[in-house]
Amino acid sequence: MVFRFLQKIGMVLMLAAWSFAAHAEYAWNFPKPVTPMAADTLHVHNKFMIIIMVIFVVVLGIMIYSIYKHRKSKGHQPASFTGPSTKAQVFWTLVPFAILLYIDFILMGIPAYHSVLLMQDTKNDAEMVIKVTGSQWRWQYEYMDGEAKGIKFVSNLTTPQEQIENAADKGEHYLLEVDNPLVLPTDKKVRILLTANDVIHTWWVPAFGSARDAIPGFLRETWVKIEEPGTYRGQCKELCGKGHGFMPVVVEAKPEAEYNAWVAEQHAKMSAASADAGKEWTKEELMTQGEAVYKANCAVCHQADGKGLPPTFPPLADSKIVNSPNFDAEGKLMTDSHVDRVFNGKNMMPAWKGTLSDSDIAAVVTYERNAFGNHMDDLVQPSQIKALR
Amino acid sequence: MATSIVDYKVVARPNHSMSRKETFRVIAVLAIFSLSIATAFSLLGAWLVFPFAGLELLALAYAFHIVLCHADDYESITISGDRLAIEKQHYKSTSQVVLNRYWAQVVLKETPGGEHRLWLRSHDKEFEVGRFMSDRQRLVVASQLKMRTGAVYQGAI
Amino acid sequence: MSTATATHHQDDHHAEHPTGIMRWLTTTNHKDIGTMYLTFSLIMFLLGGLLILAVRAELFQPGMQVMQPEFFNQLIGVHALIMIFAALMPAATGFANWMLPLQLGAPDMALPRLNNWGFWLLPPAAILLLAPFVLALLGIGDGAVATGWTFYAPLSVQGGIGTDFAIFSVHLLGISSVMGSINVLVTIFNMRAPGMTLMKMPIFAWGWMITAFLLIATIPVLAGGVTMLLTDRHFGTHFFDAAGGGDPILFQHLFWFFGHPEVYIVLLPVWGLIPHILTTFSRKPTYGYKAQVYSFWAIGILSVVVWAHHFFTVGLPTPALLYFMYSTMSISLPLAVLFFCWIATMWRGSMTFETPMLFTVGWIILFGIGGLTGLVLADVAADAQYHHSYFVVAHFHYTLFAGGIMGIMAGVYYWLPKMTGHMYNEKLGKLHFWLTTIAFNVTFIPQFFLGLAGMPRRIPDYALQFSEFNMISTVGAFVLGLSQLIFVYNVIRTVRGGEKATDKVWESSVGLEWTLPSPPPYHSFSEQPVIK
Repeated sequence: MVFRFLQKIGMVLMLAAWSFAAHAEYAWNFPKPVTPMAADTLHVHNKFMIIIMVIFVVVLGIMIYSIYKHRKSKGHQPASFTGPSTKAQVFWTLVPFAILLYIDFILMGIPAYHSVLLMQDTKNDAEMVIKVTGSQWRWQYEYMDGEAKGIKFVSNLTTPQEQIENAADKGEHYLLEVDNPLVLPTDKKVRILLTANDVIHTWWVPAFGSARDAIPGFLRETWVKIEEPGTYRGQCKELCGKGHGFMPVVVEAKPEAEYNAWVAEQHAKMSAASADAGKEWTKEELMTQGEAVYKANCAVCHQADGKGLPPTFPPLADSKIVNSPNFDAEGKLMTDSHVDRVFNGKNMMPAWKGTLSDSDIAAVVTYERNAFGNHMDDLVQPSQIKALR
Repeated sequence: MATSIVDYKVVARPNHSMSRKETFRVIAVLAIFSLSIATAFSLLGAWLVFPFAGLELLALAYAFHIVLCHADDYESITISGDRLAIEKQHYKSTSQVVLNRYWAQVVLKETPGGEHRLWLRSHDKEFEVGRFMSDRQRLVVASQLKMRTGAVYQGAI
Repeated sequence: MSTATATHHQDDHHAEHPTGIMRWLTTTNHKDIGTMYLTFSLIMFLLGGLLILAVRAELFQPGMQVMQPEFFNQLIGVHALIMIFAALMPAATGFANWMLPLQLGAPDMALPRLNNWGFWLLPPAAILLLAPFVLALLGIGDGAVATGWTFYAPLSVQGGIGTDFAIFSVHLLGISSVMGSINVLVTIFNMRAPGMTLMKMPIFAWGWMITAFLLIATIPVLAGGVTMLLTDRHFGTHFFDAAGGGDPILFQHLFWFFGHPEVYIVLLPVWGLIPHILTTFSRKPTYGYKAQVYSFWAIGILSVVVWAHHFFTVGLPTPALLYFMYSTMSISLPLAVLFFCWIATMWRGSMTFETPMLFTVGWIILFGIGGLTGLVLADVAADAQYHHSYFVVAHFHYTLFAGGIMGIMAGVYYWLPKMTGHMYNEKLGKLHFWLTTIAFNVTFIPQFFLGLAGMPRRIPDYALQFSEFNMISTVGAFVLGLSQLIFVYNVIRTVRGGEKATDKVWESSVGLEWTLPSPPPYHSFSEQPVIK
């Protein structure tokens, strides 16, 4: 009786689960593919799923038939065979084996072979190259050639901490939103080079069907050719530390004209920024920009209040490094000074020289020296950082 | 020892299902397999695999060695004429005790585990026998000895 | 007359056994050691389950509720290490200790003292693994290893003291496994009853023999790998550091060269015990004994040449990808032979469905799902999508929970009456089976869909579109966890007493172990049974 009851509970639970999921707006399969590779992957996946389901149902069917028919309670007398005895039986036992060989190496093997070649073909007809650098815990994008050459930026999670801590309502793109998405043109084959600064990350957008590891010290590559304009979201999928769940990939695919306009806009911004780097900044300007840079890049480890998470992430408030001078009497950068640590990094602390602009570094250092109860009152100018490069 | 008439003889040896040759073959196969893996990884730069593989194979070989050392162990009880001889081979040392058949006493005691241990006693000295026998075999041997020796002591330990 | 020169040899087997705690510390009796392995395994299974229930609680809803991401990362890695090294492997070794001597007709394991040491390395290893949690509470270090069970460099080079503790723990576990394997090999080769040739051995012994071979082949690679990690962390070497001329991917090769065979190390003993259960409850001889043995060999050999399918996405060259893809697919062939034999053993039998048989049938179905999804994972291009998503999490829980733990449970129900001399409670057993199977599927079927929809594994918080399935999965996990308490209760109850089991226990059990009394005497049978 108890079992019947439990079986019923189980059934109800399953049904509830199913209907629950069916009501929700939900994908039961890969997201809609927007690149040739994703389309191929989805096709291969669907085909394989059908194959294994057929195998499963057939084998299960035979077993269930046996379980139903050949039971003691039905008075079935056990046979005593221990293997195929006649030639015909040997033949019949080899049939499933042959079917499986066919499935493995022809039915599944051949499409799989073509998919691998498609996936690995990153160079032929590639129209542009971008470089993706993973670091804890953000992505950095750089355009390597063509019109967009020289554009580079960091892409940080913008979901506010309050949403993560359930203090605020979660937005539509909770955890999948960034400040600077990667912008790519549609219908162009883009070769993507991947590397990392610290640990291994994996750059993954499900709608592109391409996932590839970003490995520190090595270059890996993949490619996309986005066939539909839109915003595509993905995540890092190699465990990379505490922020692993918080480094999304967002790609905006724009038609060529819009993309070109975006490139022009970026170039304009860059020249304005380099002009900025030459000028003398006021403390207010540095503090305002510094706070923004800090929130986007530093707060994840050193925390918004600068108290850090010791022992792994040291506090900045009352920090010895922050509260000592950066440059010696001759104006030379001192080792293990505040600017040195931010610029060159050490151990867990990444080197920001490759990631942040001169003005960003100058601003964030100035901000850290004058916030969280620190009162160094000195300003670091973008020109001083520029001189270090 | 060399008496012409042997009244009774029982030899017990533990079971060894593997010959010396097979032992070497098993060790060789494992060593080749393990060392080729270790060599391959060493060539790739992971030379630290090698010492671990070596240590492990030494341990394996040592284990088989110990087992081989005891391959010839046996225990025998021979009764011929007045003599009752107990011969024991343990690793390389052979020991022999000769008792007077009619002075020898069979001592059978029950252990708390419900099994039995068997001694032969003479002149206040006890010699345990039946290490390689099962409990049932020990009981059989005890009763057979009882018929052929002096007296029997039976009780609990 | 008497010229006694004998140095009196006191043999362990025949010494009176001490009682109390000393009995367990010093025992060299294979049954005692087997019992200790199984008990340790059960405790660790519950502990590992507890860790993951905390994780599932965190994943019940999006947002961080019960813990910080750092702690989350520690829990998932320690959960995996405990379940694999401290629950599954010791359970299999426990069965080997208990059953191999009985099945082979041997008085004990070949090297009883080594056996004792092998076990007593386990508790310190578990303590090393878990100690950093406690130390963190005391303000020392930042908790347990937070890299997942795979220790990928350079993340593990960056980690805190938890990583060092885990490395030493893995060393101890490795030594213990090698000791166990040596013992099993010597026992199987040297202690078989007269007449029992290798091809007449119980199939469980075959499964364990291949497991022991695999452990001996691969443990040094793991030991070497984690030691290199240790020297990279503390002694300035650069094995895995590109800046110093090393390669982080080398670690993945080392790890998975061990890690993939590890799957079969865990599964082969189970594949060995399943035919015994099927034979018993189908009242019919094992189908295709030789075919199964050859399949074990084939899988054992294939398992050491397919490792790189665990990291297809690191950017291997195309020929390597193709090689690893096809070699992985070919594992399905010997595995299919096994499935065929299992079902053929049931076919035209006279089946009854006591708890061990229920678990076995459930095991075949669920492990089948694990195997088939493994086949699609072999496809390199599709793997780019599956890899490190929840699809993989679901897949390997079908192989390791269903294929591993449920198989072990079938074995426990099957042999417990022999070990304890008491019958377990059949009703509770069946209840345990149905709850486990249903809850298991409620937990892991949604994870397949989560993976397809794009949820990466090992993330402490997730996007809103993953909410519903995560919620279902968490509910399933809690039911699954709680229903194991029925198992624990049933086992304890059986050990304490209950209906007497006969020597044969089951109506048509075949094998030497069933010729002994239930429970078998403390000193195992040195009956020297002769096999015809």
